[in-house]
Amino acid sequence: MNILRNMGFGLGILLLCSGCFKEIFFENVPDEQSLVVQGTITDVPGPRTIYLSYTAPFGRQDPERISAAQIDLLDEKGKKWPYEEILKGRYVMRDSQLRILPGERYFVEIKLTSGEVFRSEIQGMPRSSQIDDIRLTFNQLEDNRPLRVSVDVSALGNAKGTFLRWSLLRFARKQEVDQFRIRPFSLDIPTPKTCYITYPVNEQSILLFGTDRKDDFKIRQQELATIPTDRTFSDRNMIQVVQYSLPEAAYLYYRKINTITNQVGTIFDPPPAKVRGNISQLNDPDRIILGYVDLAAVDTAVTFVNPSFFEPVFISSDCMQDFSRPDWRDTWGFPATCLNCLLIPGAGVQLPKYWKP
Amino acid sequence: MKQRLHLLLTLGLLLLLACPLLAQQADVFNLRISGSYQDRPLPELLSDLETRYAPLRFYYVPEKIPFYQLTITFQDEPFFQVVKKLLDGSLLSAGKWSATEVILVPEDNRNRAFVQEMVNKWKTGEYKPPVLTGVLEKSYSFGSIEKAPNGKLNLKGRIVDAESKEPIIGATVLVRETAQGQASDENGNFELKIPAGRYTLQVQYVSFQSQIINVSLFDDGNLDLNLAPMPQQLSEVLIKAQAVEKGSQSSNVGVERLSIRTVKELPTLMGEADVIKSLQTLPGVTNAGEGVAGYNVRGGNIDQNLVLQEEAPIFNSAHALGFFSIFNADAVDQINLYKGHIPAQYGGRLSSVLDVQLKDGDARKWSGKGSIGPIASRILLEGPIKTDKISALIGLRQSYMGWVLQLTSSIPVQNSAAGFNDGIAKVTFNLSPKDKLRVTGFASSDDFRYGQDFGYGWNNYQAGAQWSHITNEKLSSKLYVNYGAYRAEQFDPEGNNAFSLTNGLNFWKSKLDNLYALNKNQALRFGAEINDYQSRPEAIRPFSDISIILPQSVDKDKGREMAVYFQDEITLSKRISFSVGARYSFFQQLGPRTVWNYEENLPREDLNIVDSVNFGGGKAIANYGGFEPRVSVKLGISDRASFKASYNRLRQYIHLTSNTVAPTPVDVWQVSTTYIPPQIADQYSAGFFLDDEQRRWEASIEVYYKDIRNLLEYKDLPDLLLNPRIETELLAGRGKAYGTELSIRKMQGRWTGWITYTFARTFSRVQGPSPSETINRGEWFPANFDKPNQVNVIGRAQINPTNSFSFNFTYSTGRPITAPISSYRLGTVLVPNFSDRNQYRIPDYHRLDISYTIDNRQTRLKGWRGSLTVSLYNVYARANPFSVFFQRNEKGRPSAYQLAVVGSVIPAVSYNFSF
Repeated sequence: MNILRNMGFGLGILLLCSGCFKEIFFENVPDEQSLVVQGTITDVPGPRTIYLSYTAPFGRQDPERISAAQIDLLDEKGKKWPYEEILKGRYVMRDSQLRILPGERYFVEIKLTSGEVFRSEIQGMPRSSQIDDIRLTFNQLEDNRPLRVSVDVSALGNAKGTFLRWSLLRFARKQEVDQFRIRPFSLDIPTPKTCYITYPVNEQSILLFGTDRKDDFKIRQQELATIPTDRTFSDRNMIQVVQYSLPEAAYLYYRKINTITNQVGTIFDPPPAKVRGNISQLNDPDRIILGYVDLAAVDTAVTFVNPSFFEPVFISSDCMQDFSRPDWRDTWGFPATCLNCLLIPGAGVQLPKYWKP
Repeated sequence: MKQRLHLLLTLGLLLLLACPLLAQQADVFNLRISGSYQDRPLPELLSDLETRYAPLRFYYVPEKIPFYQLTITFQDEPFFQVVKKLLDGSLLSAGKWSATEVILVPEDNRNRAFVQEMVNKWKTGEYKPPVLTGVLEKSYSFGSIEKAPNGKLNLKGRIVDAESKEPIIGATVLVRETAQGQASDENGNFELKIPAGRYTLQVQYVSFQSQIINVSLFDDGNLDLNLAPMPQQLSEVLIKAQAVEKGSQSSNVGVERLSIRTVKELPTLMGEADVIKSLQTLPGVTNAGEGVAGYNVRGGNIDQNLVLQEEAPIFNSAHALGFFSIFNADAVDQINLYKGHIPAQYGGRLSSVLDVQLKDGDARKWSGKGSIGPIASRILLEGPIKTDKISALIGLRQSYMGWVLQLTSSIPVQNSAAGFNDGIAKVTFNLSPKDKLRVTGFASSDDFRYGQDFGYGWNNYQAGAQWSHITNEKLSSKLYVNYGAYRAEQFDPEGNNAFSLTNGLNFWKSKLDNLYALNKNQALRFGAEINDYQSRPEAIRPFSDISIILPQSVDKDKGREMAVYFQDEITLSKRISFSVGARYSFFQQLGPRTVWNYEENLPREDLNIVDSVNFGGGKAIANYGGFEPRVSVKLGISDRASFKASYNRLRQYIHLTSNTVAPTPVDVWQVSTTYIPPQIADQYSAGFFLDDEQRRWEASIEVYYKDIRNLLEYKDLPDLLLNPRIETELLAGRGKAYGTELSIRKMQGRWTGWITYTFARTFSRVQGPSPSETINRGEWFPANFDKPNQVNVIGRAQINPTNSFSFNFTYSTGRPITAPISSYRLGTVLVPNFSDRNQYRIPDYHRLDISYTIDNRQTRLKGWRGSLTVSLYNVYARANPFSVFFQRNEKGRPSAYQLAVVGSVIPAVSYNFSF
């Protein structure tokens, strides 16, 4: 049904609309900030992270992070697990022993330095559905030759249904050019590094699935993403799918977020609105707090893609010598990132979790 | 040398032969003509010239001579030039047949045999000048002299335009023997009360062919008359008809009538004549934008308009999502829009009543008309099944938009499909002079599929019967029985979520409407009405083998609406009249149904359900009802100026639930329930109306104020689909609307048209018991369709008898929207944070459309006749914004974009024909 809203161009397309989309600017926009809380409490130990920030003025990308807050996870009996701030506005629970079982109920309490206290609604941990398989498909005849990622899932019945959210990451390996081959007699030749670059997938959409089916059932070929096959696929890649089994309320919240972030302006778009999350201020319940802290059972799966997967299409590396480059004297004609892969945003030399050579 | 000599001889011979011809030509073409003619038909004018310049003779095919009227002046002009002027636009050309004889032949048929035959027919008397302005004589007989009763008899009838079948308002019927006369009313009806006897009636109306009717009246009689139009004046006449209804003489305020001819002449998108879009040129009528179904009247939501076709309600009048409407323009007889004073015989909606009446089929002869356009064609056939007893009308329309899809470069669009069609059939039985039965059937269908991604379809079905009966000279009645259905489907054919979602509504409507004439100054209308709404379950089912969707069905509510009404129309004097009426409406929500009870003082949410009550089938669950007073008054200040005022209360028991910017085909009609009270509106209107003596100009100013209770509003981002407890997403609010409508109309002359300016505001307020049930902190906020300023300029120029030019300019303030004012992140997702509801506006809307029509339909008395219209929609290619949405720009920063549904000029050519 989201497709209908997302792609509901209707007959506008038929009418040969030219210049249909145009950026618009609003005047007299109030300079007000709203508190945003976002986090996920997973069933198994992991980076249980909560982010605190204020909204950014529209048109600016980065929100203002909130520091020095006190955050605790609490269960129904009042037992607390504290969070600590590791970066400005980023809070992590370090207790790696906490395992949350299906049906157990938790909430989060946040105290700002101003003295304001906020709480999330209490939620129960749902049963975890399992990823059976990650499927990759590639059709060289398709426009832009995308790599399609889909999953098969065994959904476990829950009292109100099955509600899933996925996040995808792609890790691409990149090996630097061995400069010894280019300038064998130099003394300062570094050892070529192997980098692993993290690329977000579908970064502007929350991947969701929801049904009120309460039984166990199979989901087959649930398409999650289409990834353009560029030169980053010239070496081994890993696709990581993290699946979150959500409570219904969290699913409904994320669905609303998708509704307002994926509008295309057609008649199928619902009128947008602020999306109230599950956080409220204790002494001012009318105040709208943005964001959500959800309780989710996690399952993670990975799959690997080698260049041979795309045969007969050959994906060449971008590390080719080209002496027409303006900086060719410094790089011997290679792109700079081929000599120092850490220049690539999101690159690191640490082997990603789950990576297999 | 020989060759040159041969050439000279040849030339000399030709000159010798040509000399008499030149001499003769000089005889005719050297004539200089003076004279002045006012509204004279061409044949009459030719006859006049023949008389004045005897032995001059014109020869033509009488059936093909244009019969439009001409107003023309000649001042010592050459004969040739005069004839050329007379034939301008006629598709005839003049030629000399002899020194005193002129032939007028079609430009495309000049062969000698044809001309010779035509001339012979004149000379043998087979051809005669057509009788056009002369009076047509007809004879009718009612009853027999032996059985003639004492006292006065009732001679009723209806006068219609023979071409369009539209009623002629203000046509006079004069009884020569008694000098008694009457003008036809707004429906073209007249009624005379005269003793038994033989009479001569003279029926006339400006620009129409007069008729003399010889009547032998020995019993009550019914006389339906078709007046043949004089084409040049048609538009003027029809706009005059509007003036009669709307001008200072009418007792009603806030009533608009659109001539179907006007509808056809307005420049339109893709050349499709459209009833609903034409309404939007009237003051106080707007809509949310291009490609949007429905219309808003005086600050009302689109579901607050009752749309009737032959008294049967239409629940979705849109084709192609709202780019077009379902009404076949050729089948439509009258279009009345009641937006101020709504007579008591109508009810069930808060803002307006659009009453679309279809023509009866011609009971005398078969004829047809139609249109061929770039995306759709239509045809209408009408004629007698049994002459004067049973007539039929059948209309069909079919779209073919596939070629438009292929013009795009998008593969999904090329693989898409879109189409619509509709059909109408009406059979009219003249059972007796006092009884008429009309049976109507209507169906429309729409389908749209976008690639393999999604699609939808919807259908309207109607079947109805109307029995008109004249009991006696004072009482007449109409009984209506209608059944209808609306079906909608939305589907997604691929993936795990492949689904088909359907909903629908069945309805029965019965209505008895009586008109009792107490005396010539007072008429009482009274009746009763019952509407039964049977909503079909909202059902979802899997649409592919791998779909995990389980079949599911959510029952929707059913209801029954009943009403009794009366309306007393009283004319105290020529200048003072008023109308007093009331309607008592009563509504029941009917089982079977489970009604959920919620914790008191807590938000109406699933979490707060305390228990439920089950109601069996047919059990009354909730009852609502109340009086709806309807009052209007007209005070004439002079013969040409009047003041009018009205007060109306209306109740609405069925509502369109929609969570989108504009209505979609799958929106559900929801009856009032325990938790959804009826919407109630009180409207106050007043106006000042002025027109000149010759009805060339008309001006009016109307003001209104509307107060709405239980206005249906929605929580933010409501979840309406397949929701068994829809009351958890709906809110009841308060609404108010007020405005001023200015209108100036020019109804005669080469240029006709109107200019309107509307100032209108519409606000809502929702103050619920909890934050989630309150909008904008309980403050008034502008409604989605609040457009404070609106200007319409509509003009039509009759360039010559066959060519005309029309334009339509519209301007309105941009509609309110909820705008993004800040942003935040959820993981990698950049989320806009929106303002309070409807606190910003999209840029203003304006558009110019033009059309040029070459209409030769009036240049022939018989046979195939056609007109060609070339139109340009959105002449200066303004990309009028329809909506605003949020996206990341190329730098990854949040940006707001406006979407224009139509961003370029759209040309169209359409061909209308009749035979």
